[in-house]
Amino acid sequence: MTDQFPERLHYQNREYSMCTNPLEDYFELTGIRPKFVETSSALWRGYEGKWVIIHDRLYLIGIDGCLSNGTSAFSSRFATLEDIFPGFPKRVFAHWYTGTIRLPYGNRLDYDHGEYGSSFEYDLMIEVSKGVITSTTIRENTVPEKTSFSLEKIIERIESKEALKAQETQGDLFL
Amino acid sequence: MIYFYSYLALGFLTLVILYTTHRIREPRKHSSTLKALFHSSPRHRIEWKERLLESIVIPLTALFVVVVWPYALYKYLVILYMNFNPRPKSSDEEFSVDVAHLIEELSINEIESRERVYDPLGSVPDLPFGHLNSTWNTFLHKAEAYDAIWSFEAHWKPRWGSTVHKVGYALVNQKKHQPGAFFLTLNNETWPSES
Repeated sequence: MTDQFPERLHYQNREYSMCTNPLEDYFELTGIRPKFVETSSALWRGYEGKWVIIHDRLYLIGIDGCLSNGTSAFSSRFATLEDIFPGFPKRVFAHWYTGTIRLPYGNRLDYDHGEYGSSFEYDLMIEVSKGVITSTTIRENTVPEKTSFSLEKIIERIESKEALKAQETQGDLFL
Repeated sequence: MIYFYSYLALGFLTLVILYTTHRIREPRKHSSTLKALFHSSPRHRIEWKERLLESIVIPLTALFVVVVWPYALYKYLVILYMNFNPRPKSSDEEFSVDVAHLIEELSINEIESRERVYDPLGSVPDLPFGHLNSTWNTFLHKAEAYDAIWSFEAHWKPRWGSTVHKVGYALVNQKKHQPGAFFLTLNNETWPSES
């Protein structure tokens, strides 16, 4: 299995890769799956969803993918939100989704060729119930137990590490 | 020698036929715009192993078909036959609502009033079950005489994969007390640490 392109989530003024596919749950519940064209072995589902969290609610705001036209074996067209949610071209509230969203963050610790198998320094875990965010947890993957940190402290630690590296490099330049 | 060349020629012809039918049956997977998009994306990296695999596997497969075309043709016909005559799924591969999963009987009005979805940004239809409304209506049309609607909840373990938490509503024949068609509102895969 090939490592798959993640979804994209805009959350707290940052863009994250999202290793969860809430739209697949929608297709499961409706029993209808649009005929997305698989354009790459790294994108078996045939689309990339763009998501945003506004006031603790999960919204789908875009979709990148191609739909098979059905009239000819060689034709396809770009998918839009309205193809899946008629009457909602710009934003869809993901009320059907209950589960955990995983947002990997920081340096990659281990590469796994399986779907979303790679591990990173941190995982921001967002619990969602019927489209509403109920809790968030930061999981640090370098320690065996779950540890709670605030996102701001994690960012500070990473930025200070990067600043330290930059200082060391500059110091080397002057040697 | 002429027979050997004829054999290889038939093998090459078989390769051309198989490739052509495959291209006709499968939709075009790459558009020029998308190819450019993916190739320009910094996230798109083709591992050298994949490149090596593609440069070896495809020519080897073509050579295999040309040399062993009777077997390749036989396998292709078997696959075609299976596509047109799929094996019916066994009962443990598909979920069905059991009497033990049923919770309570409800009227349509009760269900629709409690399953109204609210969104302050107006990104959901003001209908029962929101974006799942049409699926709900399709489910209601399946109701027959003596059918009542019950809510249900189940933790279903398929043959492959982890347990799936399913919640929804099912049509139950009141005379036989037998659940039938169902409508899902939750279909959540749970992992061993969560169940």
